[in-house]
Amino acid sequence: MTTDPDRPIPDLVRLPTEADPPPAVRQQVVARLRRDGLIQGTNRARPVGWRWPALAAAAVILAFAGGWFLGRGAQPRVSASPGQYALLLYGEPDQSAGIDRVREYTDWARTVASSGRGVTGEKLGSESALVGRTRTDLAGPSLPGGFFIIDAASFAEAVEFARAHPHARDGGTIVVRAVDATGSRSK
Amino acid sequence: MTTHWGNSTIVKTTPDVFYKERLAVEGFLRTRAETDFLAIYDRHSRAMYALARHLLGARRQAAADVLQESWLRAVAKLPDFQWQSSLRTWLCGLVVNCCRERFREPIFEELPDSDSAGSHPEDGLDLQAALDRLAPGYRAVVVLHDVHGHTHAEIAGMLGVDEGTSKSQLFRARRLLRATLRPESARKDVP
Repeated sequence: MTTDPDRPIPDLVRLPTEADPPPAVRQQVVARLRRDGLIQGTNRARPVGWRWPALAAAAVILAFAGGWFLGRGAQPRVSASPGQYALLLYGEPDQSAGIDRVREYTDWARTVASSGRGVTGEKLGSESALVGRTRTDLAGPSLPGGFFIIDAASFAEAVEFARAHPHARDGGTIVVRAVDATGSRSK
Repeated sequence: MTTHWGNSTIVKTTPDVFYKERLAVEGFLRTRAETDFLAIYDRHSRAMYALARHLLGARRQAAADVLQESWLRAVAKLPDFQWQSSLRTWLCGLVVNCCRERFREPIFEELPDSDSAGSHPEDGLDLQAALDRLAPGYRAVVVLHDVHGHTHAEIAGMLGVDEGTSKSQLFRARRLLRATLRPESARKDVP
């Protein structure tokens, strides 16, 4: 049987591509970086220069759109056009790592904004109330703890942004909804 | 994983690699927090260490030192990283350079097109021993391409050669390895 030099050697491609380095290396690298002032302790600084914008208008639009469609029993649909998309944050992400959630989510928003897309968002408070006719099918898996509204080229792109969100990464759940512009934004 | 709930799409998924990496790096550069750095370190060190061991061949006991030096350089250079490649590829390039500089010898050099260059086809060796016997340049190309899955474009960038050189050296490296591993069958291939 002849061999083809253009093809890899089968055993070669099965060699391990990962190996555990000695644990001491991790400690030594951290010690060197600390000594050189390239990293600092575990206390994480709060971000500066970026504040959650005033989003009352966006919240009104979001609540209006969500309630309107739920009330009408809208049919499932997927938007392929540019527009705004709401990312509703449900559940509690993993808290074990001591991560500053506001900072993490702000970093995500900055990355979205750096691609030229509009993004805004807010954390929701713990108080909630159902107003109007009481229904049992409105709450979904839980009440959302926060939301973002982003500009995206399509529903699929909005889903991609949601996939990269630290809330989804760390065990939370994100519901993606297209925002239909109704012209009801208050000024 | 993406599922549908009513007229909504629910995302509860493993993260997109690009955004995950970029967010992690930008977060670290903003805070310089040890925990942020260690998250990046833990995600890539096993691959970097394996690459260093493969590249160093018989001198793989130095892989830990190469890994440490690679990370020190990475953190120093990270603010200038332009995301023209994946973070993993960039880090592997640092490993390659550290291996080369550590031993003050070119890890890649033009080698004669000879089956005797760096191999001993009289032996029937196991794969690791055969890799160890390859000249550093051949070993680098075959390890980066066939073991770690880098493209010729990526290898060319790491080693400072053009893609054609990377391809031709891979061809020769495979032939040398086959000759070392199975001398009898390899001889039949050589006109």
